[in-house]
Amino acid sequence: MLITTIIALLFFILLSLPISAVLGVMGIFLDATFSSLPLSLAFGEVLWNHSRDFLLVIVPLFILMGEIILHAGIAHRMYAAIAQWLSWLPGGLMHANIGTCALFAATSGSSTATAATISVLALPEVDKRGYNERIFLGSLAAGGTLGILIPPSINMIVFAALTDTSIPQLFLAGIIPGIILSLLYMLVIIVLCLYRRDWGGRPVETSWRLRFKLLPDLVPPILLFIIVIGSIYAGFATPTEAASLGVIGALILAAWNKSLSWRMLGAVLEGTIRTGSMITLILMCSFVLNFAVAAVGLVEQINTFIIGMGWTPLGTMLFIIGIYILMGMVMDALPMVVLTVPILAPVVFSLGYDPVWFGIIVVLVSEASILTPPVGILCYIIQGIRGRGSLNDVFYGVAPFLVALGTMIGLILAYPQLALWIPTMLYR
Amino acid sequence: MERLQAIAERISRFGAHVGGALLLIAVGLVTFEVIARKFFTYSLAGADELAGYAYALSMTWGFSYALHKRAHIRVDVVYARFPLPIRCVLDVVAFVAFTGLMGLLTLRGYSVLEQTISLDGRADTPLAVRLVYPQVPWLLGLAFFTFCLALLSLRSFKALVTRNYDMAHEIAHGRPEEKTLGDEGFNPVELAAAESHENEGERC
Repeated sequence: MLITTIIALLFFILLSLPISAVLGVMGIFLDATFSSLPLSLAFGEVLWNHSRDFLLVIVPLFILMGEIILHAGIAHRMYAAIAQWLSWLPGGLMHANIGTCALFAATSGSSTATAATISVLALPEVDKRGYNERIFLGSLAAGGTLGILIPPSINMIVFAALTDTSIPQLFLAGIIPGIILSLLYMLVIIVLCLYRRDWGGRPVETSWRLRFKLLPDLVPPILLFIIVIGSIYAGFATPTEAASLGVIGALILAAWNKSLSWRMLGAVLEGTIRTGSMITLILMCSFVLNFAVAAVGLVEQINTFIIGMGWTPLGTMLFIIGIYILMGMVMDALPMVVLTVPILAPVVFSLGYDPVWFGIIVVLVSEASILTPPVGILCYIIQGIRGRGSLNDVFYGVAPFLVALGTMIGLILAYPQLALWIPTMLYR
Repeated sequence: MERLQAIAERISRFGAHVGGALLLIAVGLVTFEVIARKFFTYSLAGADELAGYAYALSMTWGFSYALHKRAHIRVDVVYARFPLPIRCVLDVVAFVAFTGLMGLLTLRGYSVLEQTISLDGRADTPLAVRLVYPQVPWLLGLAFFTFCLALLSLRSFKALVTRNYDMAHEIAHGRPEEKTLGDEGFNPVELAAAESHENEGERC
């Protein structure tokens, strides 16, 4: 059964069906090939029950919030303020790239939105201040990955929906790794720019007066983060309710910034429906597949297979991470996660790993997958905005930051408490 | 067939706007409920349930909008390496398989509705909504999505057998001018909006 399933899966991917169709067709295939009962009769119920699930309403709501923030035009003020505070370090504005991405990530659940927004602001500085272009591009792509690690995060929500893991705990677990990864990225920049001073560009004019004058521009995003994440942890709101509050907060922010208009709202809603529906259809089809996978007993088979290999839990985990890194080169994060997590997660949990901890690992390998060639969406987006030179410049620039990401994965493996400390303290 | 396509695209766009408005209303209701509960210890029962229906309707009607915007992700590692005629064959196969899948799911959705009608099903909640009200538009959304897929399947099949590969490619991937966003030429923020939220890869 295992081998037939894998061959069928590869075949449907080879046909390049849309990923939601791959999942749904696999569900029908498992039903037709391995099930003695006609499972597909229950697909309608599966679909309807998940379609109106209040927990899943969070998917379009966080996308809506991100779309509003994207159109609200608050990023350039954040960038100017953070540049004042961080650009004295070797590497100058590259630290502002990382810092602004980290702060933007705290209001947005998407890596592509984070990288695109900050790149538009930062890229003109390459020529103005004579930075090493490759490293500068790399810092933007790396900073973008923080979008899905620092809560809120669409990828964490997808993981939670597929595995029944707690969204609040996952969000909490992302905070410390998010901060450490930001610092590691900055360390990479410092080391590179100490090695070659001329890579770090000409310094930005800073003053203590300006630093404090611009500080209030950092308040709105921090406030929004506190409203969304704080209301969940205070037990004041469920994650979906917190996302609603976030949408209202983002609308107020856009109005305060004078960017709210009917035209803007139309673009925001169209974007939300487009992306939200795409993700929702993938989720619905993976629920159909999950149902079939559970009914035909595929998880037990894979479990027996992996345990039969006789590896230690750590060995198995390293093997899984290795597979993810390889898959991530040819696939982007979302297809990779929805195709593998429903099947691998039960195995990982049965080895004794914590679901929340594994969620963070999955987010970290997803970050690698959106950076690594040949398929690395963040690099494509930054190259698109740059509009000159070769895509390879971005991939070269990203390489040193991948070392930081690898170190982060190692740290989480060695010290699970980095992810689990806050959730344990508040929830367990 | 071209006219039918244009009409379908207009309907799906209208559906996306109505769905977006429904989501905003849901946001308003849920926010009101949270604030009322916290500060006035008054609970507006059922905001979560209504938000669930808003989600179901806006998303099922959004499926076809996402389709017309070519937002449904495909894994195209192998696909991209084939010559154009083979890619067009794969496009047709993808459309037909997608249509078949959604056709089956729509039929199964119809059985759910049938059962609701025969049992006069109500939601197991304080509001006790008659489930037929949300289920009918939900099912219509699914059926409309299947219809849009069938239409694209037919059109791309027709283009394939007449060996009009450029046309077939356009049906699967959208007109080239659709990719230059906005009237002002290249607009990075709109590009970011279009590319945001991991809708990466080749679209269908």
